[in-house]
Parts: sequence; C-alpha cells; structure tokens
Amino acid sequence: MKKVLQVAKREFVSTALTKGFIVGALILPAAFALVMPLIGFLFDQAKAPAEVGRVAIIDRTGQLDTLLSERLLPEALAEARRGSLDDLQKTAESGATEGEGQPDLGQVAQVADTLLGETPKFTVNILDVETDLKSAQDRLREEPEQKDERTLALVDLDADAVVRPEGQADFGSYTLYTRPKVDPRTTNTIERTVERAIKDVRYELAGMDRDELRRLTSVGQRDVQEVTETGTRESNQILQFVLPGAVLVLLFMGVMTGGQYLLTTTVEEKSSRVVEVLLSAVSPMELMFGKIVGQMFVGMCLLLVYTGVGIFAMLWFALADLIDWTDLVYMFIFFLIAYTIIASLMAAIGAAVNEMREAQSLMAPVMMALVFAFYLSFPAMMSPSAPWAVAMSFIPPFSPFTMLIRIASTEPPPLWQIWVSIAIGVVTAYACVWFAAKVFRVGLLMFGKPPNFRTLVKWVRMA
Amino acid sequence: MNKVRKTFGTKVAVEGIDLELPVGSLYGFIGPNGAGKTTSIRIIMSILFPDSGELEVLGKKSAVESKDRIGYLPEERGVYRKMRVHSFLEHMGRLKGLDSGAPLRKTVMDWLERVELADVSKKKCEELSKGMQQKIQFISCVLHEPDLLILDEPFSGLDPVNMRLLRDLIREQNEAGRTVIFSTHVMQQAEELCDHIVMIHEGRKVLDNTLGEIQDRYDPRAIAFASANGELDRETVLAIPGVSGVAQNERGYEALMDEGAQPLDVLRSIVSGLSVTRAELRRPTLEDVFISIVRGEGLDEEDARQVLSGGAQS
Repeated sequence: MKKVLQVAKREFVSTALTKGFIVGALILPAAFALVMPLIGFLFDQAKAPAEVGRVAIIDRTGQLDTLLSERLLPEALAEARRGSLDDLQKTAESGATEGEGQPDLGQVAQVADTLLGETPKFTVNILDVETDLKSAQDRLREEPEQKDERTLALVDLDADAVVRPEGQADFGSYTLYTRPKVDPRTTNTIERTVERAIKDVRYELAGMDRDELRRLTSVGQRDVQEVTETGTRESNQILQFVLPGAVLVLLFMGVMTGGQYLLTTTVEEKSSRVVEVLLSAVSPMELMFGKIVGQMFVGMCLLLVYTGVGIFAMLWFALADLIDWTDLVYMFIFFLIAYTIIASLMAAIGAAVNEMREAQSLMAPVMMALVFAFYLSFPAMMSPSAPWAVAMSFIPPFSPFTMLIRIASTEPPPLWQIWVSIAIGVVTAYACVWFAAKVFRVGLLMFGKPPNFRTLVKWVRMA
Repeated sequence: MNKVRKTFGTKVAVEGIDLELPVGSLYGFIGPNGAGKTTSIRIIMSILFPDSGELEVLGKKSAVESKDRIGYLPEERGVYRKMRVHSFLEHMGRLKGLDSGAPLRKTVMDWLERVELADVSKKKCEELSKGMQQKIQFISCVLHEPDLLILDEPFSGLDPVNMRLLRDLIREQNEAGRTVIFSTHVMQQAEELCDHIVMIHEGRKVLDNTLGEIQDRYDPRAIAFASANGELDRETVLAIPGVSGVAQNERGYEALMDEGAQPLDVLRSIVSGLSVTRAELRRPTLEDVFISIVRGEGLDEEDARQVLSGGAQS
C-alpha cells in the first residue's frame, strides 16, 4: 500500500504540479472567468455612435410622409425609446411581486442604450412618388464629403400600405433599402418607426384608439414561482438546465483529463525504459493502481476546483438554495466509476504501445465511447424518464453520465435505480481493472510491433 | 533455479536451467546476445514467470516477496526524464521501502558525492549524459543496501574511466557481503570481476564453475612468445624439452606442452634457448572456453566467434 501511494504521489506531483497543468487546467479557466466581466464592461462601453445621415422616403400612400418626417427626427426617436421604456416599466410594475424592489428605469434605459446604441441623428428627405427608384437607390451608393449628407436608407412605401384595396385580405407593406454595412441597430430603428407609423395610421383610419389597443393586446409577464418546503421562490428555469449540464461537463472533464494523463505517463515510462527499473521495486499491479489513484486525484483536483468555484459563484449570487448537495455526492460516486473504467483501459493501452502515435487506434474506441456517453446524456435532460434514457442509465460507460442527468432532472429516478446503476458501474469498473491489469503486466515489457485488440485478448489469456 | 523453462511462442528462451548461488558470491552470467541471460534474470526478478520449474530467491518462493532486498539494474533502463536527480533517487528509495525524510536525502547525497555527481543533484535527469544517467541508475539499485544485486549489462555505454569506477563499486558491494549477479556479453569484463561464471548459450546453461576451475579445465597448456629475430625455425622450437607442437598467430608463436611437462621449466628453456621479446604462460580466456564449448556442439571456430560477437540473435 505504501508503494502504491508513493507511485500515486509521484504521478500526481509530476502531472498536477507542472506549469503546463496549472496554466492549462487552472489558470486559463480562471483567466477566462476574469475576462468575462471585462468583456461585459467593454460591451457596456461599446455603445454604437449616433448614426448620422439622411433617410429618403417615397410615400406612395400619401398619408405617411408628415408622420415619418416627425417620428424619424432625433428628438422623436428618443421620445419613442422613452415611451417603450415607460411601457416596460408599467409592465414590470404590474408584474412585480409584493415586497420586491421595483426595477430602476435609469438602469433599464442604460441597458437599452447599450443594446440599441445612441439615438440616430436622421434628416428626412421626402422624395416625389414619381422619382425613379433606380436613381433613388443610387443615392445610397454616393459618398459625399459631409457625413450628414449621405443617404443611409430609402423607404419605399407601397400605395396600399395603410388602405386595404377592395376585395383584398392583406395590406401592402414597404421596402427598405440601405447602404452597405449600416449598423443593424440603425436599420432596426427605421423599421420599427416605419412599422409603428403604418400601424398608427391604419388604427386611425379604422377608428380605433391606439393606446387602448396596446393595453388590450399585452399581458404582464410575472416570474414563475416554485413552491418549496420553505416557501415560494422564484423559479430559475435556465439554471435548472445549466446546472446538470455543468455537472456533466465537469464529470467529462475530470474523467477525460485523468485518463489522458494516465495514458501519456504510462507511454512515457515505457518509452523511456524506466518501467523495468520500477518493476524491480513494485509489482505491475502496484504500479498500475498507483498510477490510477494518482491520476484520479488529478481529475478530482480539477473537479474540486471547478465545483468550488461554481459553489462560490452561486453563494455569491445568492443562489445557494439551487445547490443540491446530494447531487454533488452522486457526482463524486459516478466520477469514480467513470474514471476507473476509462483510466484502467487507458493504462492498458499505454502499457501495450511503444509511443503515443501507436496509441491512437486503440484509444479511438475508448474516447468515442466516452464522448458518446457525454453527448447522448444531454437529450436525457429533456426526457429523463424516456425508456432509452432509463436503459442508458444502467449501461456503462453511459450510465454515470445519464444517471447523473436523471438524478438532477425534474423527474429523479427511484433510489433503487440509482443504486443498481452504481452496482453495475462498480462491477464493470472491476472487470475493466481486471482486464487492464492482465494487459498491463504483459504489455509493459513488450516492445516492437504495436498490438491490435486481438493481441490484447491473447495477452489477457497469457497473463 | 530448478529446471526453469521459459518460451515465447515457439521460441525457447530458457531451457531447463538449474542454478544455485551461494550468499556473498559474485556471479557472472555470460553468453552472446540473445543467449537467454536477460530472460533468466527477469525470471529471477519475477518480472517474467517461468512456464515450468521452481525458483527460490533469498529464501522466498519469488522475488516479489523480497523485492526490497534486491537491487536490480535492468538492461533496458531509463530514468524519469523530467524528474530532478535527487527526486528520482528519493522516489526509487521510497519504492524500495526506505522512509522519506532527512536520512534518505543524506544517503542520496552521499552516493551522488561518491560517484562525483553531487553537483547535478538538482538537474533534471534529461540534462545528464548517458554515462551519468547510468551511474544514477546504479545508485538507485544500491540505495537500500540490498542483499542481492542483479546487474544486467552494467558496463554497456560507459567510458573506461567510469567502467573502472563502476567495477570498483560492484566489488565493494560484494566485499560488503552482498551477493552479486551481473550479466555481460563481453567475456573479458566477467574475467576481471567475477569469481564464478555461468555461461548460457541458446537458453541452456553450458558452464557453471569458478573462474579458476574453468581456467584449469580449459588450460591449453601452451606458452605464448614473440621472437626477437622474426621468423623462427619450427624444428628449433620443437627441440625444446617438453614442447610437443608449435603454432603461429598474429601476435607471435604458441608452444604446446607435453602431458607431463612442467610449465615453468618449459618457459625457462624458451627464454634461454630462443631470442624472445615476450614469453608468458598462456591462460584460457572465457572467449576461448566459449568457443571450445560451442565447437564441441559442431560449430567451427569462425561460427563460434560469430555467435560470440552477436551474430546469433534471439
């Protein structure tokens, strides 16, 4: 046991305490986590500058030119944006739960400014309906010296945009032509303004009250409330999917990292011929177990760091009640099962080949099984009780992933299913270790032609 | 080892080897490349297991039970390239059952000083030359003061200075009461170091005796000499009492002695009767012995020499 632990210690130290590992596995994600808020900050700063230029309008309806001339002016656009925010505010007020703070209009306006950019400074140019469309379009390609003299967009309104022709079910519309590479937010502002103007004229002509119509057609959105043992809480449906997904990614990452490193270090020991020196001091079994345990700690180290960061973040954002501690225990158990299965096979492959290049063909099926297990578990998130999901949650190497997703899902499996899955996993892990131990013992001192799967089976019989 | 046999597929690597090593002896395993030396050693180390036969190492059924009492320098040896020298040695010491801490660190440093490598203790193993790595590997197998030391081709790749250093260290280990087995395909190395020789050829033990006994048994009863006057008359040599034959080779002449002749008398007669620049009693080398043995199996001398120089591979 002392020797197993010594091998494990060396394995852990030589992997986890290297610059490569610390930078790759720990610092990079940490740096990424730091950069995320920075990106947010830069995004905040990156308001689109106010777009300056002309908007040409061909009003074939004869009823929109004045209205659009007014509404496309900077003040009117700013007013319209404020109006939308007022509507938002009203909706929020009507939907807010008692005792909760009211959304701050200033903050919302800031978000809107960030998203929509500063209010564009348009000048409106009403063109005669007889204007040749081609020549009007040509203006969009002109590059005058003064920026405010260039034409940004051309709005061509159909004659039947506000008055429905006799016998037709639908109204006409409009076509928007723009210069190349106009900020999409500017195009969007023009579209919204034109559409709103068209609708308002239609309402007016139909004798309807615009504000009343808006009130009639909107329903205030309230948050979904979960009723729990301790009272009601706001349901965070996004996090409900994100968390199991994150757990899956962590599990995959831990297993993959440990397994990959195990393969690499075993191949290195064999190719550097240090292996026979080691075998004079430890048995092949002690060596293999020591290596598996050492890399298991590497995987767990990653798991702990990321889980710790995740839990810290959730505590920070006051989402601690979303953490299900039982799920974390299951994650740990299923990590051990999945890791042992993959790691023992990786150890066997590492012992069987002479160099990393030769390992590729033997590794491919193991990696594919792991990747399939990982990706096939995601659909189980949506239908955790589907027969295929239930079946997969019992078959290793899929079971650790699928069962974990089912446990974290809205329809958790009965306890007996979890324990049957764990039992099957443990038996499979044992079988893999048994197989790997045989291959490991024979393969370590075999040099020369890389073996295929049939040779591995022969070795198992030999050992 | 008792009737130990090991095959790889259809190839017989070791065939019915019987061997008993007394405690404190220094045994040389000799034989050409591919003779079965490394396989025999791996079987002794329980790295390979025999198909049949019995084995007892240091009073135990297998070396697995007494690994910490054995120091082993394999033929295929290496180091952890990225590990620092002292860390590697401490790791090996721990694997051999030594406790970590100051005493182990001190033992490691003492050994490094002895082989004049104290200044590289903090270097990574990959930064060392092959010879230096070999000395580190030797330290790794004697750190724990084993009762049995098994060295497979320990001198390969060493320069003459380091070869002498290693030879002295091996002798010292033996003088300290440790049993030493070392294998080599360079027979001269075995002659210089061992007091007992085991010769293996095609998986079989063909010789197992002390060096003195071997030399007596295969004594060619000849005196080698070089003439100061160039070419010698054959009859003049044959006229010397006790000389029954004469042969010429690239280094001079060899006078073969009669059955009852006293070597010292014949030597005196040659020195006084002929004008010679050099005269010595010819002792059989292990190479001669090997050639003599395989010739007995039907090979001519040229084939035997080819086998010895590695012409036959397993």
